[in-house]
Amino acid sequence: MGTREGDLSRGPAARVVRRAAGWLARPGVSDIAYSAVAVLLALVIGAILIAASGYSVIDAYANLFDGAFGSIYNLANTLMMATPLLFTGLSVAVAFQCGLFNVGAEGQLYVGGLASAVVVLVLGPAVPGVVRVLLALVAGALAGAVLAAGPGYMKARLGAHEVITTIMLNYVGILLTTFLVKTYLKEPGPVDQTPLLPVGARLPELIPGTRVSWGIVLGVAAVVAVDYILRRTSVGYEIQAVGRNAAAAEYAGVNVPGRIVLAMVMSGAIAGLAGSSVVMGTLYRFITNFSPGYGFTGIAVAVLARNKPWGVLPAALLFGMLQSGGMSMQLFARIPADLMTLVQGIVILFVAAPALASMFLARSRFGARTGGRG
Amino acid sequence: MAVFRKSGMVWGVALLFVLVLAVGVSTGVAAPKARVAVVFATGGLGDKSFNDSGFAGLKRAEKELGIESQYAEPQQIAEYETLLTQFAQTRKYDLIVSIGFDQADALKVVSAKFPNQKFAIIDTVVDAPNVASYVYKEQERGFVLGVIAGLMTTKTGDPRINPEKVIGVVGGMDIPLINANIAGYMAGAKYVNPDVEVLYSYVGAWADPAKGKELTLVQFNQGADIVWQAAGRSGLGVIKAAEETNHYAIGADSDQCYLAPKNVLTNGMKFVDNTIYTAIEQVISGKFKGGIHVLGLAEKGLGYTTSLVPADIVAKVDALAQKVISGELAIPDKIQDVEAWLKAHKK
Repeated sequence: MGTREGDLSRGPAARVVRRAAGWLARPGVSDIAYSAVAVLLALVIGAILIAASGYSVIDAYANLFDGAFGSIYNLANTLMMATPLLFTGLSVAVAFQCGLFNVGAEGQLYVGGLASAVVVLVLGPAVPGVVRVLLALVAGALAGAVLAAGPGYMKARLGAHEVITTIMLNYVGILLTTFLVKTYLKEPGPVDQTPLLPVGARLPELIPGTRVSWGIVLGVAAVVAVDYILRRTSVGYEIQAVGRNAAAAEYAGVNVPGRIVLAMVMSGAIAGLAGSSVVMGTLYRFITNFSPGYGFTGIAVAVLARNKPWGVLPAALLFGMLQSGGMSMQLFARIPADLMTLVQGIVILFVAAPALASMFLARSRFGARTGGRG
Repeated sequence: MAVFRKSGMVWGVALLFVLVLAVGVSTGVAAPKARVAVVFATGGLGDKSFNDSGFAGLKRAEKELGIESQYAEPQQIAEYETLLTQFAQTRKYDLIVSIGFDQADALKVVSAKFPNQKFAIIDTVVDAPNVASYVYKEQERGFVLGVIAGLMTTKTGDPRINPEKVIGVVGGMDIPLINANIAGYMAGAKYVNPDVEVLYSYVGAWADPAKGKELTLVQFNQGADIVWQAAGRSGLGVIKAAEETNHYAIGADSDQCYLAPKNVLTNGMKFVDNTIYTAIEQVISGKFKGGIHVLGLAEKGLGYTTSLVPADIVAKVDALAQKVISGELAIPDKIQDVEAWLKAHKK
């Protein structure tokens, strides 16, 4: 009888999945526990898929762990991968606190990254490195904020849905930077990229000899700042009030359009910093099309973080871990890194769709009932 | 009891250690000739171009040279440096190969960090003592194509060929690399037929097929019947123009016949597979050397496809290519040197 349900529903691993899913579907489970269990659940399903594809699960996860934490270099690599996601995840989460869905982080991080590179290159060696770095970060945040302010304004004043406008502006942001680099800023050579940023005007390495930069510290600082604004200032309270119920907030005297624009500006500025952190801390130059979709992965990070600023931290780290670990899984265990992308997807599925967990629960009851007879 | 358990653990660890050693030694016995790691370009495998060609070369080296290989397909530029470092950190690979020019930054950093590790990069130059940079004698490819076009334009009975003895080439940009191609093309065409006129123009961009097409149509109007594209993606417009007006185009870098099967006469090929094979071979035979390695017809780094080329022309081209390979003909790489070269090599 049991065979009818297929491979996924059998064996001890499946029992773990079912038990965990059942627990997830219980009311009153805290956000943190919920996300943590969803991650574990996804890893278990990932293990089943790895085994089903004919690879050794132990081999895979040992390499995953080693690639993510096995040495200082690998740990730093995890942090490097997590850095842009920390910003983009936070960016999406902030907008969501105001009830807005910013799908434009990708475009915003491109303009931010280019603005930072331009400021560093234009200011030249006469200006001290620290000043250049700070101004470049400000420029990156500003550029991202400007690109996000438009959709914010259109939403607040004209009622244009921000999902549409931010998606469209992604193309504007990405292609605008490509155009500017090709036309004005290109370093001679086959790649469309700006010249290298001088050593003194980069985000320095956090751990010498590795690839993690001070960008991650900035990211943590941004999390702290956003958390403070949202929880301890009246502006932050108003933003959240608009997010919960705009009509009620307006009735209570909140300047709803103003708060919408402000939330989008904050979101855009943080996304812009994602670009700055990569350009100034990882690539040391702006390269056209450098982002593999940090802005879109940011949405997944925010979902896993349940749009809480502090939640973004572990969520971004998890994604960084899966990426750097997945890389060495592919490198040394010859298991496709795509399987880790799959695990990421399953995590999101469980967090974003609690109904799925209930479904598993219903199934496990069914399994328990028929189990005695089969 | 506690002591016993502890010593038991010590023995266990010792046994494990011996086992690990044994496994290590036993795999050491069956050691391959060399271990090679490849970091592909972000386009990934399946691009029908650089990466796939490089992969084919790697597989051939596995079969024929008995090497063991490992490769990575990065999804983002930020991964290049990490992947190169991770390969280098194992200190297990005799050669680490970077495919494609956009890895130059990463390789510069990593090669400095691991001065005893041998690296190779294809299609660009990284100036470091432990990096072998493989680039191509573009003018030799131009020469072969020029010979084909020069002979072809005088053919009769082919509706795609007009009576005028004019051929053309559309370059991507006015840069030394493209001009070396054009110089070789002119030299080749006029070497086999001094009366042939060679038109050339530049798109000024690598990804502007519309302008590539415009320039090609202009050349066709001026009497050209065969136009070579040395213009990256802009060159797709060249092939399109040839298809629409029923003339001949010549493809570049990979076999582009599928774009217009009746109108792509031949292709100027860059053989990444042979290049990677050469690099591995040099490591195995102890001939690895940092610095610039220029590959041409002799090294099979460059070549052409016979595609629609008539057999009699193929024979003539191959004979002339032999002269280039033997060193009898040294092709000029600057357009302004072509006249003098032709005078010196008058038949």
